Amino acid sequence: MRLPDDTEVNDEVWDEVIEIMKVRVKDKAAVIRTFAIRSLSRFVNDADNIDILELFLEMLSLEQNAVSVLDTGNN
Amino acid sequence: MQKIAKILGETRTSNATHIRKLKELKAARSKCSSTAEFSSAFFRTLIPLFGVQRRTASSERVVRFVSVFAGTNNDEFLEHMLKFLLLGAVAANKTARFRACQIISEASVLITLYFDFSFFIVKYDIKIPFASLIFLFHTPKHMKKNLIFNFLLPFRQFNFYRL
Repeated sequence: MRLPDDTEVNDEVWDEVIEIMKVRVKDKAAVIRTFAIRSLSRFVNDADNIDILELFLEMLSLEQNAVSVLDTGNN
Repeated sequence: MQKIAKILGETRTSNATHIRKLKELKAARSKCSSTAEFSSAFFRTLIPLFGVQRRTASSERVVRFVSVFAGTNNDEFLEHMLKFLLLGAVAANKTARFRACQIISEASVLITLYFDFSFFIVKYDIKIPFASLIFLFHTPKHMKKNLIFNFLLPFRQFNFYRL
């Protein structure tokens, strides 16, 4: 995520946020996974963070809650 | 710390008070000798929230308020806050992880909107009221409500035209 030059938040802090949220995407609690994905969604369009999109695609196929929501919609 | 606790306690009852409470919290921050002192007191006051597992209306209001305050104080305080939240995000306690990730996600959305908005008005050099309308027009439908309530309304109280 590109920040203005005058911001006082260090880019390293944001990098750490991204790294920890990537770990939380695989948390055992669904609600935590939800918020982790929501956090990362704001960074997914950055060219530097293309691995976030890949992680989303990987987790989408493994997410049981997502599948059950889709299944409910089809029935 | 008592002042901060009082403000956070009053945000539990209604969303309508949040704009006024943001002002009060900002004033409380300005009275502290340093950002570190305010941050320390603020985080100590926030700790009980990390033990509230149930998503009640009052707890969600506090989360929203804290997220908006973090998102609109994009400076040294935000850096302290993110570091504090990251400690919760790696905690063994599930509720602590949940609340930390929740606040990070809410604040991340607001902060990114802030930067998009500030780039927008700096680029086109237009006044905030008009910029708000134009920016709102281009915002995806599902984000409009969040943008209005959590971002543009808090900025209404500030009488400035350039970010």
